[in-house]
Amino acid sequence: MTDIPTPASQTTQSEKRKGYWATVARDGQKMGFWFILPTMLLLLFIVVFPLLMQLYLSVTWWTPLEGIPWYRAWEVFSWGENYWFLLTDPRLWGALWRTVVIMGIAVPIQFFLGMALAYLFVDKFPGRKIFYSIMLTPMMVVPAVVGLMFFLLFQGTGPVNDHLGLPADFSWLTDVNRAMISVIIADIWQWTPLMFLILLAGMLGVPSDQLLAARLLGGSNWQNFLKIVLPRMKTVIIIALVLRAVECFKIFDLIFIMTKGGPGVQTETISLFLYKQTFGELEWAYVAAIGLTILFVLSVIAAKGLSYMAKKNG
Amino acid sequence: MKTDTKKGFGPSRREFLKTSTAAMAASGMGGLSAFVASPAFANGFAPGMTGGPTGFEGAERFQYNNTMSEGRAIEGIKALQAAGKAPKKISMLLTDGAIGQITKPFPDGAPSAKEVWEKETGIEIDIIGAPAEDIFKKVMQDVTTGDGTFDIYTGPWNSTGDLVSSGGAVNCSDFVAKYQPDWGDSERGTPTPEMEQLLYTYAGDYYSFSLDGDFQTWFYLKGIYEREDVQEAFMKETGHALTTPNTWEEVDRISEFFTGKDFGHGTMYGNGNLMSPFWGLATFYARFASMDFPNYHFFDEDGNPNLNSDLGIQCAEEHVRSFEWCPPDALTFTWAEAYAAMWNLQIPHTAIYTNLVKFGDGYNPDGTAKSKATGMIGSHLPVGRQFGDQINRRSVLYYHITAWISSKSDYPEAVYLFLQWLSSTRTYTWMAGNPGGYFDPMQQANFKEPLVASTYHDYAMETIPATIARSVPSINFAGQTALDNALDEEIQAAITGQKTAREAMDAAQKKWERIIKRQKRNGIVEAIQASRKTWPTIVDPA
Repeated sequence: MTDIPTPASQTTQSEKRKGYWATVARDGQKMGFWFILPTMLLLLFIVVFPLLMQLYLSVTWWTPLEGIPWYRAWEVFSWGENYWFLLTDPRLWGALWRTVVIMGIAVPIQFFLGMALAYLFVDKFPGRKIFYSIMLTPMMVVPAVVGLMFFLLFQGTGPVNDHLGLPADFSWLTDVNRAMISVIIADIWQWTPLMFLILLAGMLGVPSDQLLAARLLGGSNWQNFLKIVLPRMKTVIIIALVLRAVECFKIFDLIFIMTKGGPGVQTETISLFLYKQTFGELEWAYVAAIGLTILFVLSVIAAKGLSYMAKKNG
Repeated sequence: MKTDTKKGFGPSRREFLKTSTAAMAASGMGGLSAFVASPAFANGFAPGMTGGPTGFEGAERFQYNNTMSEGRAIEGIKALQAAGKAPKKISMLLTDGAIGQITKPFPDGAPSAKEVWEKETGIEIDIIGAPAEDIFKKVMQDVTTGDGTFDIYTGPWNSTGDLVSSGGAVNCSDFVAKYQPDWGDSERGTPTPEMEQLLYTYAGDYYSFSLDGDFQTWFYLKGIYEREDVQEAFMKETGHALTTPNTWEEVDRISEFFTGKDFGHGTMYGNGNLMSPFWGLATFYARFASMDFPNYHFFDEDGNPNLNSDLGIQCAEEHVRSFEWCPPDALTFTWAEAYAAMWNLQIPHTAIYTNLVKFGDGYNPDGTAKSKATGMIGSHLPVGRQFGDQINRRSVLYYHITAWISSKSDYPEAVYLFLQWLSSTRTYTWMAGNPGGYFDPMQQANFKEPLVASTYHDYAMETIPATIARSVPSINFAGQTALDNALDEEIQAAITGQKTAREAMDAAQKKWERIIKRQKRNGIVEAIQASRKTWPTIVDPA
């Protein structure tokens, strides 16, 4: 909006009396400012205050065990020790690495399985609706329940070992490598349906006339899939992958129930690590430092990403 | 919770009558006014008694008057009510599995403890349950961010230091001096003054109310040990007679022998001790404590950890090796799975919480056995190490449901009086006999009580107090959670083969040193020194 100058001659005496507010009434930008001011103040309180609080705590050693309220945390000022410690904390980096590993394995598998299932379900077949409902069931189960279910399935004397003919001392959840595999299997079981649902929606959105035309021109199913379906689904695929990757990064419930991050810390992800540090060891200042660091890193990545996209779009 | 405020210039007629009646109850005319105000209480009480449970044979053993700890608590509450300083309701955060002992009537014909309290005082007890493993997280949430939802917190005794340090618990020393609980009574209370200090105080002040008996006690399958074929097989394989073990070496020998064998009840696994995260620390601490004579402390006198000393590493190596003889999935076991393993005759022995036999040995009301192990379980003294002609048998106090008064409570004195009533030797003995929950016996009076003996069995009536006398405290000072978690992670890493025992102890040592350094200003070194003084020095002939 641009200001429209008002001729001095048109300014009435009464408008002069109204002064600044009369100007606001005519000035779209000023009016907008006053309208959004309360929201801005609220946002400032919601976002900026906790951030400052977090920043303040992160440079102290404060924990609830200090017996002093958080605003007196300056009494245990620690400079940047928490930040230095997080850079050298093998448990933090280990948790981060394991989170990335789970994400890096589970999400691609979920994607390929989801894509294959979506391809199967894109055409009509008898009982499609029933199978469709069954397929979606896992993602509707509460994650904690899925955790408990797989905890029982993977017991040494549980059904998995029983069906595979493995001995009872072939332990899944207490073995360093197999515990991770168990968790990933549980995550894949639960969240492949979501991938399937999103990809199926994308696939159904591909114009059938284009596929028909391609077939008439002699395109094979595989060629049609690669040249028409996949390109048309690009946006949906990105959304599905990002959605699952973000969710997978936050994985907590499954692991908390199945292994509690064990054996040792071998399935401890970043969420579980932060939970244990916050509510177990009560290291709130350290967690504040980690939180701010993650926020900073993600902000840089997001800014770079946006800048890249802006350049790409001209 | 708020006290009533006076709205007019003086009390109304109703308020005056209410106050004067209550004041009379609290005054020297208390006996008469109590009779007038609640004539029902006169029925069922033994001569000279004014309160307590009624309606079952032997109820008089749990009744009291105002010369006794419970009676003083009730009298105190009435005085507070008269002065308008008592709440209508007290809220209590309590571990799920313990609720039944307060709310379920026991034995037949009796009221519940909650009913007795509410009837005698008119103050409702509102109990909110939480899982044992997570309850202290809820406590700290309430301390740091809550608005005083609970008047009473309960949780592991180990967390006392953390709670006190955070300012979340009320110092009850003045109340204790005023109302004189019988916790340390030489006949009925804790066996020694040191044990009273250990269970009820922190840094010299009273903060805790002991509501449990989590001294890890050894139980074994007597019915299998005494079988001739088992005896013969053991002798043939080890060259020793199979008897209850006195030392960790003997424990390990028995564990190794039973692992993989089937004596008609399915494959057995020798080591029934908990090895899992959190719960398994008790096993490690018990073994650690007996590494030297008479004790091997977790810290030296200056507060330096002993984890990566030669003895500490040896302990870790033995602990890790004992995992070979554990049932599959033992690293996911809580006490519940360990109980089940013994009840299903899967393990020959375990050092664990005493209610193992309460829930698994005996018969249900319908006459069915509580478990396959019914009638087969025995108990023995803690194990240790032989030094010359002596053995330092050691167990450990670990978890142990403990109550604290929330510093956010509006009525700390009234809440204190409820907890004094609940934890005194008559009420607690009655509750300890109740099979409805986790509160285990620990006071001397508990072990002389037939109801407790019928629940925990005669064979444990001598071994549990003997175990208590030989128990060392695990960690309970500020920073405990961090210390325990740090050690736990390293032990788990060693058990699962990610680290050697030495590497794990080196890493744990470093973590402990860092935590202690940070907690020094909170008095951790002084707390360590105080804790060392409570360790038992009792040793037994070999």
